[in-house]
Amino acid sequence: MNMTPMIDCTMLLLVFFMVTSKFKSAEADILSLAYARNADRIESVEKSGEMIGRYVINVRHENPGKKGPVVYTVRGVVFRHDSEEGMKRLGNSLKAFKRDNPKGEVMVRVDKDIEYVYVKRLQTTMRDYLAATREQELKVSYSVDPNPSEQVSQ
Amino acid sequence: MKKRNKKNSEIEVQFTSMIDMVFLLLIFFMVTAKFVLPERSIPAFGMEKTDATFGGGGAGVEPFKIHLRKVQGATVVVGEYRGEMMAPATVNDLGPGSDLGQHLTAYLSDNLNDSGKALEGVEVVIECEDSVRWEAMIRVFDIIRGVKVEASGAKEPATIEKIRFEEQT
Repeated sequence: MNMTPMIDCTMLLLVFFMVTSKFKSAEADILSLAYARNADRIESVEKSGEMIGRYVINVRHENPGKKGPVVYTVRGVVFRHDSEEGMKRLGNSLKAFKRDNPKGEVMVRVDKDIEYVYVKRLQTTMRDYLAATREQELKVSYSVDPNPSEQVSQ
Repeated sequence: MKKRNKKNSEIEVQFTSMIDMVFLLLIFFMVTAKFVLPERSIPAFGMEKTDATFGGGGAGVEPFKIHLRKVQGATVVVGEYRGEMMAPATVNDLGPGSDLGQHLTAYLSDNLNDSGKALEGVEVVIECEDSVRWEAMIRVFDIIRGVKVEASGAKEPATIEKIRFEEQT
């Protein structure tokens, strides 16, 4: 049996998958983002050799299948929307992040089926953070999916 | 006891273990690989501390208002400018060529300065019911960000840079 061509092929495939695969970051939860055509590319967290840092907040239902209460998750840590304590901890966590990454940005990933009120809650928390700090501005952006989806379900 | 003839023996490479490993790795990477298009982002609005930029209404320009309502389970979008309400449209009917898109374009082109940039107070105020789904909100953002007016003399087309949320009354 001539092994050479098989090993050629196998090695080629192996190298291809090793090079192209990118492990999913622990920051991004699995959720369905809303589609937007006029969206910007997400810049690398490394700007001219300097890591600027990114604080990723996921807004989703606690359980798979869009079940359970709405939660905010940051690097796997779950903050409940209905607890004052939870929102306070989220604000403090944001504060700690900004202290360590002065140029850090906030990226909010919202599941498209979440109701607006939960995003409003998050916005209020971020405004409270701004009000309590010397920062003038917080760079926040929402993640969207650049692939056209079907109609917006009502 | 047999005596090996070292001179005649051929060196053989054992492929088995190598192929074992290669296949193992290959299968692992094939299974874990997931081809995803990178996400994109849109800026969140009204995250400045200063109330001057947040209060809006500079240079006597009136903001363009958009109301999002849930009516019988459907999300309905109504534009309002200078107190005049536009015909309600469902979220799926929105688009650059839609009534709302055209009104926004007209609003922007009416409020450009001499150098083809949007005037100071040009902004869209969104007033949204709590139960409106995020997808509908993004669809409205997308329409607003898609409004571009080419003005003579300007290098880049003018866009609506400010979007503000208004609390429900």
